[in-house]
Amino acid sequence: MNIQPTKIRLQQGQRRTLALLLACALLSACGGGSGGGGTTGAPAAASPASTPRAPPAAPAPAAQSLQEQITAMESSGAYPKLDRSVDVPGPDANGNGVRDDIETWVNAQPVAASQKKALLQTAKSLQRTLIVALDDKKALQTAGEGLASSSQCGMLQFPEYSDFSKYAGKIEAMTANTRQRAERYMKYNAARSGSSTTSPNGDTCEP
Amino acid sequence: MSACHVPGWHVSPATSGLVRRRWVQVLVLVVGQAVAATAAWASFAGQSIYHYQTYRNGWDAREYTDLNALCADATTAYSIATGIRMSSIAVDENLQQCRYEYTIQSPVIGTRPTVAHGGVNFEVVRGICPVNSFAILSVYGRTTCFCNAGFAESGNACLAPPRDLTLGFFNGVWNTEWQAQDGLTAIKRVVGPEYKGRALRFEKFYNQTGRNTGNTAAQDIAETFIQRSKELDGVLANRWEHYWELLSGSSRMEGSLTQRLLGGVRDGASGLSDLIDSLVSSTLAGFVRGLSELVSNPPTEVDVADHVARLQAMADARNDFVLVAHSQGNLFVNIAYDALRKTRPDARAAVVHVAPASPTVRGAYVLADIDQVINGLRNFGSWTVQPINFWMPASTVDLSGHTMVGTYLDDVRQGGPQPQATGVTPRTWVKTMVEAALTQIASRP
Repeated sequence: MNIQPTKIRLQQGQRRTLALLLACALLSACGGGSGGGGTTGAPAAASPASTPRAPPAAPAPAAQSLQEQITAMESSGAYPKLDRSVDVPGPDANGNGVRDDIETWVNAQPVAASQKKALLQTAKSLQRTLIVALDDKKALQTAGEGLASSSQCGMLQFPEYSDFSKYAGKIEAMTANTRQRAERYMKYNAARSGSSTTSPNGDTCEP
Repeated sequence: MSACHVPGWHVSPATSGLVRRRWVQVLVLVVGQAVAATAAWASFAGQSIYHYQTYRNGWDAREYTDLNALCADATTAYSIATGIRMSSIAVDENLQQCRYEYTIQSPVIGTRPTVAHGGVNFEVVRGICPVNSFAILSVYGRTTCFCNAGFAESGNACLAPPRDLTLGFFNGVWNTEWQAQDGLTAIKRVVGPEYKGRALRFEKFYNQTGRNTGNTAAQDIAETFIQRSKELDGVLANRWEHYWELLSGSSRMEGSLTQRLLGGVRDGASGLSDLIDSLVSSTLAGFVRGLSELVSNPPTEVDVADHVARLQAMADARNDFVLVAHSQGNLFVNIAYDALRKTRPDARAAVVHVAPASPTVRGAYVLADIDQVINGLRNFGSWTVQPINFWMPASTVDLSGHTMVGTYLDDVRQGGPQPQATGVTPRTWVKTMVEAALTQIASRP
């Protein structure tokens, strides 16, 4: 289904009003000034057609495409403005291992500072899965252990674990948000199939 | 413990032949010092223990389970003590002697030497210490039993330390590793870090949906997203965050990225909403199709070889197990459990099945009436899915009614084991099942 610009169709009353306006404009253009001491005559008797009417309604705004609306949402903050560049890692200006757009999103969430740190740790561990060497079993295991540690940290920082789980699920979705990243993420998970990892105990939150 | 031998053995009256008399001083460490050397002592419970003695030294504090070794040492020590070269020749259990021989040179030139024989007594101490302990003979001739390293004394027994308890998790259909970890941590939060004072270990056994079967269905779901995302001018084309929310069942959850997108558009909103609903349906259908393929061509021991090896290693390191499985993880846990029972019968294991896709189960299970994935398998009909045994209301938190965290560990919705029942959340139900399994395996002495 394609969205086409909607044509503005005037109502019958609107057409009549417009015609009147045009007529008035023409009449005022043709009317002249007086010649030497010309006197103004009595005004012409008002005709029914010149009775003042309500100004015409403003035309309905053109419908926006879905993409335009989404762009507006991203500009206003109603939807996170995510990096969608083709490179898998994406921008990380401060080099903390968390992609900049995701870091911005986390910092905007209405949670405590310690919970934001836990979410950033989760973002970092998920980001690592996109760049870890897929043929390095030890590195893969380390990446998996990072996921376990960040999950443990989230459990410690959020009184209700499901709250952390919802945030973390969004971070996961945003991390693998392009086709290139999604494909890379699928390869990581395939490489980890058959693995086993112990969940750590105690405080695994990074300083 | 060590013993210091000084030359000077005297033979016992049973010994024949000429011997040189020398005093022997034997130092025997007191029993308390024996503890430091316990590592050198092997457990001999139930076996015979031997000491040797002569008139002069009393019982040698060394202990033997091997008579030949005892007699070799006893004869050597006696040779050193007497200065006579003796050879150990036999063990006489009737006489309780280490028999030896030696050569006596004749003072008469040309006369052949004479071979003489003798014996060193030994004592037999039989079965004096219980299993998993060893005995030390004190200087006073008393035998004291000590428990082997790692065993705890309890009355007249030496008890093995309790085995470690491990809760293992086998993840559900098309879970990413993060989602599998999420499920395990959610269980850990519910169950707690310990059970009746014993620490629990939590282990994730990650499987991405088999190695062969099921992967084509996963690819189908991704392909479907690629194709459908081209609709509506490709509005979803490079917005794969919605794909992951489809996979996790959270597309229609309040506050999800997908819901935010839908809530913010005005023009064309219904078209986009219809597209999302269509993707939800096709994703669910993909899950069911993939699961049916997996059940038709179930995983084998080869597919779970790595996990079985890990379970075996943990069993050898004295772990017992509660294995919790979700969705297609149940197909894998059944094989792993059977292999573990076969190869490590001493390790105790119990299984808790959540939303089992497997036709058979190895323990208690829970299957919700709202689970569209597992109950959808019934339409494929060629095998038996477990009967529904938990009823609960549906929710947009998880439209599939199938996810571990969204549905089976939900602590808000009330349900119960009969239709229309209320009063218990699915989280409480699952927790009860896990605790029952822990009680079952932790009850071993």
